[in-house]
Amino acid sequence: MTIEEVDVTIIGAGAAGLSAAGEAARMGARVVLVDDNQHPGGQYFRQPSPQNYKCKSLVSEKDRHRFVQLLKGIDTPLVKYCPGTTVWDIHDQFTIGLADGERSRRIRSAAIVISAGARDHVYPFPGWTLPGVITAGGSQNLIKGMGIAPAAPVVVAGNGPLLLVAAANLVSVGVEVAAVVEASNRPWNIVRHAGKLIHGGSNLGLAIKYLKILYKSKIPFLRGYGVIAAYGSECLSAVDVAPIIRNGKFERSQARRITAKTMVTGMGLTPSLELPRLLGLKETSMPLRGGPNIITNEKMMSSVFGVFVAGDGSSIGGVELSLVEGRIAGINAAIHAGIGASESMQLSLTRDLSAHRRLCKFRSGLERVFMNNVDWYDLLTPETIICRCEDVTWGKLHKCKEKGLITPLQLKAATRIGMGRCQGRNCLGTLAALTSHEGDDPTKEQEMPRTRPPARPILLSELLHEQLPPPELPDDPHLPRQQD
Amino acid sequence: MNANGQLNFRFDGQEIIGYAGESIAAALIASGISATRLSATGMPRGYFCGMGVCWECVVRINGINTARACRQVVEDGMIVETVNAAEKL
Amino acid sequence: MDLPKVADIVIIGAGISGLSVALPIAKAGLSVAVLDKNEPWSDASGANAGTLSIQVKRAEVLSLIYESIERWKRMPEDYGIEVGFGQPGGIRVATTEAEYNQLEKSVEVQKNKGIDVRMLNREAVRQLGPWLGPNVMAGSLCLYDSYSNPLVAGNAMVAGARKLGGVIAGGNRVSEIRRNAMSDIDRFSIKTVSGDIIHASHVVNAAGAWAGEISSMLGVKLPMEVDVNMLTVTEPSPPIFNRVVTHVGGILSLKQLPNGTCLIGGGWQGRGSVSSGTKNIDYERFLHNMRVAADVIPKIRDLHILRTWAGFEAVAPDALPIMGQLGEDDHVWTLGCARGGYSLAPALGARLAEMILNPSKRDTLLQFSPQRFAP
Repeated sequence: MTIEEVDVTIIGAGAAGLSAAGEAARMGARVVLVDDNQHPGGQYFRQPSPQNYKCKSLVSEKDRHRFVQLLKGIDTPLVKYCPGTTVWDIHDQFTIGLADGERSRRIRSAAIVISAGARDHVYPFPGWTLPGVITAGGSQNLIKGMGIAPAAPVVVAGNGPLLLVAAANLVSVGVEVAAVVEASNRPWNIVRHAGKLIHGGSNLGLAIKYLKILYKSKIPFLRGYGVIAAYGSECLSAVDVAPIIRNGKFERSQARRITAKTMVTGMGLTPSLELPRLLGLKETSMPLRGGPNIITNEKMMSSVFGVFVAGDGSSIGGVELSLVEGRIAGINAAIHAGIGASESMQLSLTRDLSAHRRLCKFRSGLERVFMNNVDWYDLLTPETIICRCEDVTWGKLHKCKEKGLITPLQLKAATRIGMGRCQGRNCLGTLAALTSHEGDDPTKEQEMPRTRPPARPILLSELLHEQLPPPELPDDPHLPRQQD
Repeated sequence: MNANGQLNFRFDGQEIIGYAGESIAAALIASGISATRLSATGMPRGYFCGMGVCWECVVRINGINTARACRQVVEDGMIVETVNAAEKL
Repeated sequence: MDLPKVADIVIIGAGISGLSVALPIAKAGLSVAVLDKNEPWSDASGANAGTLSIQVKRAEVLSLIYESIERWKRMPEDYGIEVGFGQPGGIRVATTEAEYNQLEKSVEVQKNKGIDVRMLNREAVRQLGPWLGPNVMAGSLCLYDSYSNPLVAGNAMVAGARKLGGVIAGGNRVSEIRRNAMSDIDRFSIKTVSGDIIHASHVVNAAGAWAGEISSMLGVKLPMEVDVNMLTVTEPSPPIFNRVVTHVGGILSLKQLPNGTCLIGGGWQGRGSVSSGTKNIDYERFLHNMRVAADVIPKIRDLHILRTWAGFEAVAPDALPIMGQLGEDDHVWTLGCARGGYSLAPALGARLAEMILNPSKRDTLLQFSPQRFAP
């Protein structure tokens, strides 16, 4: 019963993970590339899978080519690609617990690259739990991944460039979009930050393409507006939109109703942090990048020696940055594992670092274009669901706070918030925001429920097959303790 | 399953058409079904994030375990049922 | 939170032990302050499966367990609080020949002590629990085996004590305890790390994994070992089993709560230490724990595991509760210890409160006195 030893384990086979694996393998490292999904590519390179395409393919020639190159990069005996496999535990330095739906196993790795990506950041609002309200990522997965169109008419509402991409894609496949509702309202920011946006390279071309699609479609484009509530009984039937006024709050008196069977929403992305939090990696708060992001140095190494984090899973930056960060992380992880870097690899790294600097400038410009001061929590009513798994409402949390239960841990014990299947992914961000500045010391950060194994839910049955040495049984409660 | 990859599965007794490689959620949405579970207080819920992180689309597969409809691929003859979280012991 | 300057009793440690003393003291009308270096209920009490089982108790504590379970049951009545109590009865299983023999012997001992428990053979135990796995050879049944919900009980007991005027102050680590033997009212000056001082005439050490540390501050040696106990909880499920399930070897506790989630324990050890403050699961022992559980109730295999956690629990060398006067001073007391601490605390806490308030009761339950560790 030996545990496999490898040089670099890469968690997540999206843009960042695939490029990290490719570079690490190029250096001669033994790589294990783990991914939860059955197919590589993550969100951006989500491959269409069904035989029957109900929608035209939306992948550009450039992306198709890039993806093929990425797959070529991992097509080597040095890379063991493990799809359909979840990382549920990491301990020591570094034993990684894997589970593939049937059985668990461990690998020992000298270095780790976490490239687990991001998810849509959604602020709760009245009616957000209705079937038919989906995220921008959810819409993209239906169209690009499954070739299925969501039910029309669709309202696309929220904040950030992804929404525009989602809206443009919906239009391209012929779905009726009733309105695009974007919270930010500072088009002059494009001019203001033009100096940064120039560094976007092909991103600029893409942005212009999407905007053209939307402009040509003549779909109502409401800037400086937001959805204040979604309505429906069994599923979504309409949404109310209202303008956002100076102080970031919503002018409800000017609300108007739009019929919709699907609402595609999102306020940008936020990194998926279960594994970084399991490892205790240092975070920093970046409001323009979905809140908590992982701190990395120029090697893409985190605060834990030997753990590298790259792509949207470290700090939101989009596919171009993910590809570059993946390469940087892959090279440095291999170096950490003791693999020497040749001169050509060093040169490659230098080029990547320079690309990284340029892309960061573009990112900085882009996020400022979509910047806004919206007070999304202004939308909360006592009935608004905060914890979707346990149906904990904002009103219930408020009542507990009035009874003196004000810290996240106290609220968790009192309401079960964060204790459902999503392991707090849907609600702990809101809980943190709603409990900050409470308690005696306003500068002291509230202790949040700790992330513990399993990093994602796994079936108990997956733990029954791994070969283990005989157990060290707990003490028999009927006997005095054994003296050592 | 026929030559086109078309197959049939059941959702709460209703026969639904699916295609090889499709997720349960996609097949249901294509058939106009967006609600696939009842929450802790009986609210209808369904597909939300599409990438397996929100666990809203949980359904029961063949009467055994729960699975996320957005990730579980349809199989010919599969029995898919709503999970009712409001049903207490 | 502002600490009062004086209290009749100061209790150090706001886990099940400390709170079980605080409630009756507060009800008797005395002023009590409970100090905890963390949030109340942070360690052993929170890393607990909540099993209140008579069957798994050692002979030495059987006389108290019925009373303690009754006190758990009566908390809504006595203190107006909900602790998630349930009394579904419990089945204790044996899965090997050796375990079968052990179980038989244990049941005899329990019966002799007046416990209402029955031995069930392979067919009989399956009639009661058709959800038991094929490897279960026999079981014993006690209809009084119960549980409370540790996730709820802590907050509830804190609220209950506060309602009676008790002060429960988390985030107040005790740094020093001074004795002024001359006075009775400020016999003790208890100082916290933030510099607050509270005076009391009695001190109760209910500090669990840190009881040894507090005991040293009081000039008494208390030999405690600290374990790291692991717990696991599953997703909610339609009903699978309807009894509290334990194991004759003590390696399993299983219960399905009213919300459908299954809580799995058994005393399997995680990793960590009080000095480092880390309390993590141990990979292999965790898997073994799950395998024992799945062997006893196979249907839980199909459930997703949502969460594991671990907490420090202090154990005395003889694995029995420690309760009574601590050292020479009859104003210093202690209560604690794993292996039944959670289930026995309400009874032991009430008895300790009685001892503190009533000197004539101080000659009882001496078998649990910390004196037994005196050199």
